[in-house]
Amino acid sequence: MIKLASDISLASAVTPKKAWSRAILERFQLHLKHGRALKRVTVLNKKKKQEVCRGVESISRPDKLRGLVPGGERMDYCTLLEETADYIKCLETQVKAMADIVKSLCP
Amino acid sequence: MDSLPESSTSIPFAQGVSEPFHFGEEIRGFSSENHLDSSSFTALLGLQSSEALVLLHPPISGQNISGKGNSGQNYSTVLNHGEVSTTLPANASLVERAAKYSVFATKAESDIAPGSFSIESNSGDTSGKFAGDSDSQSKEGSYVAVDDRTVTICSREKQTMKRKEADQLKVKAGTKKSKGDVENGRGAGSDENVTRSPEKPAYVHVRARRGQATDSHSLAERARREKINARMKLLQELVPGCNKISGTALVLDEIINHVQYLQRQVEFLSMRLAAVHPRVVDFNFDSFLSSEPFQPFSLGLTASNGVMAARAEEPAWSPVQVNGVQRPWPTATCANQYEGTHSFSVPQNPPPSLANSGTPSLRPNQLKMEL
Repeated sequence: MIKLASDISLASAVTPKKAWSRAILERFQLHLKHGRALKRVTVLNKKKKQEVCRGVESISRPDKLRGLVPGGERMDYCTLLEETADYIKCLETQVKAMADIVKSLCP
Repeated sequence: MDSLPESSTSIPFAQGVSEPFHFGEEIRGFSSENHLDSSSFTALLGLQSSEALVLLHPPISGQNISGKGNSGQNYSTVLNHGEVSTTLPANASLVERAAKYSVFATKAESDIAPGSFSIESNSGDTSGKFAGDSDSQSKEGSYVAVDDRTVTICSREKQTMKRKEADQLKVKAGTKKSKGDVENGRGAGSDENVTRSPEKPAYVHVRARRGQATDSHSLAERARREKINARMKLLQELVPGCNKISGTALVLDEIINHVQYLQRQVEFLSMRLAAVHPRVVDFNFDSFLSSEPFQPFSLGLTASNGVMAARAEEPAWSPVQVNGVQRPWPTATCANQYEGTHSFSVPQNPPPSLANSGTPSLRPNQLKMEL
């Protein structure tokens, strides 16, 4: 869990110009103040509630995407697409980096 | 200067500004200078319009642009008049553009229109609409090098930068994609573009294609749609296997799946790392939360691990040229170095301040975490 936290904060430190990284940072700072590290749980709960109430199929695709991309709920569709592209790229690098770490740690 | 009768709607400035990547693409297409992003481009336009205003008042000798040599004079006059940005002289195409604008401005009321059309008609796409004689004169342009699609600007170009940008944008957008639906018909629309007599007050004409509405709302919508489509294309390139899928909905689904997959992978890997590597980590979040310029070596890294991670990341960055969108990708390499070494720094360099898990002295800035 803490690894997750570290990764998230690092991912946000990568490109602070982008909105999603700012969103992650904000989340993190909030939780710092409260002294807990929840982050994803709350967002996920919201989404699950939505799903349960409405049924999974009724969530439109952009909404799904908003739920996935951090900070995506406040963006319009255009910005959302841009942020998604950025986010995907960063996720890919993150995965690569972590895979390398794992490889080096446990051969 | 004079009041241009704007019979058609004016394009909001925001639109012009909101399409920086179109500008970026075009500019990169004809200028080799990297620092010419949209902001400097508009600045240039602004400069040129101001120069045009300046030039209109003092009479300028050698106003004939019928010959290349005279156009050279115009260049010099442009350059001499006031604060031309330093990029202008360095770039021939920009100089040409500046000259063009200045020429248009000076020739606002004169019968330079045929000459101006010759310059404009270099644009291959709309050339069919121009008068026939303009094509013959088009060759004498050293303006060929300039992105002439942008110039459907008539002689009375002094009209505000906004419209220039927006219309250039529209023309560019229209010509880039063959659909080209973002075009504006000023005045009577397509007919005026063809005739374009010099006596008529000049409009910034952007041709409206057939069967497409020309009011501002639909234009805005069309611009927005094009934006969205461009970004969808980007995403398609990013996500493997999306190129074959046709249809926005399925592509979106694929994108969502991919994002979920990546997130799951990150989780999985992090769990794995956590299992392998139980430790006490002291994160000093305040330092790297507050400072956005990222300092990769703030945690006392081990060089070897950092190098390893960095090497793994560098080949990933070189092919990353996201078309039309500028992103500060190089910073990611630093971050990944950091990431690679972060986990190693703790067992090797236990931070002196808060040592053990036993002491729950939580400063507000620091989180003590146990794995």
